Amino acid sequence: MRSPAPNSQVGERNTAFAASGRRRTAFDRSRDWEGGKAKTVTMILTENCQLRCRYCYLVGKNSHHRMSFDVARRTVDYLLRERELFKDRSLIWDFMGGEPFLEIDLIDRISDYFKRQAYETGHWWFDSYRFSFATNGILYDEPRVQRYLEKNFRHVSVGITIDGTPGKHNLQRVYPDGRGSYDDVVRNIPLWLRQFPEASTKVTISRADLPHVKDSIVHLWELGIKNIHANVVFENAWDADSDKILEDQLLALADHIVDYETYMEHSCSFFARHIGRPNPENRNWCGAGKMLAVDHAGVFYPCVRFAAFSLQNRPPLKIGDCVAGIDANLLRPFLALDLVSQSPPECIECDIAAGCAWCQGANYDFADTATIYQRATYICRLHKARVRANRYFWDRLDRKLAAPEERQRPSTP
Amino acid sequence: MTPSPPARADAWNRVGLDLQQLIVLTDAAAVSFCHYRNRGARPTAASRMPLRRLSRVVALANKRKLQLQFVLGAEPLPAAHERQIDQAPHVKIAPLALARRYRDAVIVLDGNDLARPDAIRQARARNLIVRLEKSQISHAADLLIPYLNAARRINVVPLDVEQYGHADVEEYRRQLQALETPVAAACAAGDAAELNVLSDRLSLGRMNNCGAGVHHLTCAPDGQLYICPGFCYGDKSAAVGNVEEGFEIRNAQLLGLDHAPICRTCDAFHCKRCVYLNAKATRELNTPSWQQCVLAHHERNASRSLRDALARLGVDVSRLMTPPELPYLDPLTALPGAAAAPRVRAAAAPAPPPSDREILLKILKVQEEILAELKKKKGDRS
Repeated sequence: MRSPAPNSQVGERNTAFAASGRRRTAFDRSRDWEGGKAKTVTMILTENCQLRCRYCYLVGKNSHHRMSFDVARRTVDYLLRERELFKDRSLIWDFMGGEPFLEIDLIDRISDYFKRQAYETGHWWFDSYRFSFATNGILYDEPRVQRYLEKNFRHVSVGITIDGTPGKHNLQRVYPDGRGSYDDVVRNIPLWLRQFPEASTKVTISRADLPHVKDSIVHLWELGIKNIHANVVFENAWDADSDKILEDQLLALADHIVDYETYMEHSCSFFARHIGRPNPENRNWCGAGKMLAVDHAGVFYPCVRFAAFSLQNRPPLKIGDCVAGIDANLLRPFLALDLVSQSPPECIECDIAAGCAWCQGANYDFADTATIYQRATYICRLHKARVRANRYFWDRLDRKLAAPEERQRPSTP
Repeated sequence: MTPSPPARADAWNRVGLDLQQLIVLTDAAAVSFCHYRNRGARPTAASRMPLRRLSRVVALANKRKLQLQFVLGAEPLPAAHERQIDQAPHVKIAPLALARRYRDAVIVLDGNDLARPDAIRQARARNLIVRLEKSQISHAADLLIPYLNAARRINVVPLDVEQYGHADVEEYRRQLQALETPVAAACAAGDAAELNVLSDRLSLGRMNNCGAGVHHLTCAPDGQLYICPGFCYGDKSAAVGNVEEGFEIRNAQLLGLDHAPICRTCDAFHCKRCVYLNAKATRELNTPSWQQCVLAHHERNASRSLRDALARLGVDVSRLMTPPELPYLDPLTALPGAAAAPRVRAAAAPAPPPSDREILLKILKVQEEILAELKKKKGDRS
């Protein structure tokens, strides 16, 4: 299962140890636009995709659910009108699918409409917005896509999902006939990186991918993608030796980073300073509810993981629509979520909890009752493996950076 | 996941730790006595709990030391049923129509009952439950004032609160305000009824909520067990067990205060924290609607005002609690990270002094920063 976009808190935490008196590595730098404070509105334009990735949480792909411009227009109008409700300084339009670039003409029209309306209504978002894309990359070089990117260049971010080595990528990211998609994606990586040199990609890891973790991340770095967000799937998809395999892979990755000194330019979210500490505060990790997702029919969800095509076991969890707006009462459980109220005692008391993630949508889907307040803990042993590898990594890196010859080298800005 | 019979049966063995009461609906047409509505069912012999089951329920309650509350329908119970329920100490909850027959019963008055002359006669020295329709809120004070000198206690239950708009909430506040003077005067005269929405908060130093699913369960006429009567009249899958096999409440922790993030730090101690209304309005047992929160805060604020009014009348208020002034009406807005919540704010008021807990947390935070700085200095030196 693919996970939602990485939570902004990770970036904020990464900056927390930046001023430690030693050189700033790529692991120290925050890359979140607006420090993660922007409102993210996910537009589920289509439930269609060229691929049928085996881990994808979008289990109900189809070609008949497409957003109309009228639905998009109503959504834009609602968001611009409700200034009391949406006070966020900035707005990120997160266009997704399925595959968003299948709907590039609609995206162009929505983007133009938003810009014009924001200007005409004097909304502060006119000066502070972004159009964000998570794409499989297959259509990236298509002329209409390129025209759109050029037209909106200063306001666009694009993430192309590529999972690593051809073997790892083609294991999961396949066409309906089972063919791997690696070649169709990798040919667009150079163009993408020329246009977005600081772009990152997201790697999702399920059981079958574990033996390929280190090679895949190194492969992505070699392709020129400097920043890798990686996470394991939240499902009950793990067996007795999964944690051991992950730990071995991460230890090998740590050695690679330190031995080959890739740490100044390249990072991977598997390693971060804060990982493995006790929980710093009683906060929710997931951003569901603080973001907003809109499906093809204009129905609002607290995140895309609560839309019908994302859920395997439960009905969709709507919080409103583009005509009636958000039902404040249906949003309240999300705004009130904290660590303690949804976690089992062993998680609350866990000494190495920091960095242990959860997905509210997955929690809801797997819970014993229809609640978002029961945390799924299938990744517990994998998190512990990650913590052990993370400690090993920082121990090695700190010793390396503390060496006299290393301290005299300049930091990369 | 359906719990296995042994797991369910074992749940009865936990009785006494938390579970204290069993509410028994003696009839499918039993009177609605709280926020839920019992629609449609007509009292018939078939709708009544069979005598054998009633006998089993009473025996179970006696064995498990559970207090019993019998909720009656519009018709008196048959003599055999009455003899059975007298086998255990209990409370009866009955509609006005049965008030004369059951002199010891708590009487439920629906809004339209309040103006009936016999309702006031029957209310004398009784505990009343008064269910007010949304349409009656605008004259709630006028409806309730005649009962202040008659009843022993009045539990007001506003209905359909999840449908209240801001204007309705404001009207509710005005009605509480209108009740202040008559209640204070009756108190000063020494014969005032307790009025839950005004007087309860003044005697509470900690949360005292409904406790559905924690302190009490509800048994339907067919023997099925529910968290509370509100869950009996909707989806039948809401049953958590039955009297024969026991029960298991999945995710029962969500019924407790410690798993209710909005309520956990709230000081509307008198609030019912109705999990049925929570589920109805927000789909989560542990999350109240904004209407519940704001109404409860208007009540706590009105209680505070009542305390002042009593003091002005020379009533000794030294033993009454003093709810502090708060700058908000919806405690969700006071939670960290809930800035996006639609805000309902009280009129400007000075911020309350920090609690001991807040002061301790601040100290801890400062210490953490100092610790981090010391560690950094130590690291630099080494």
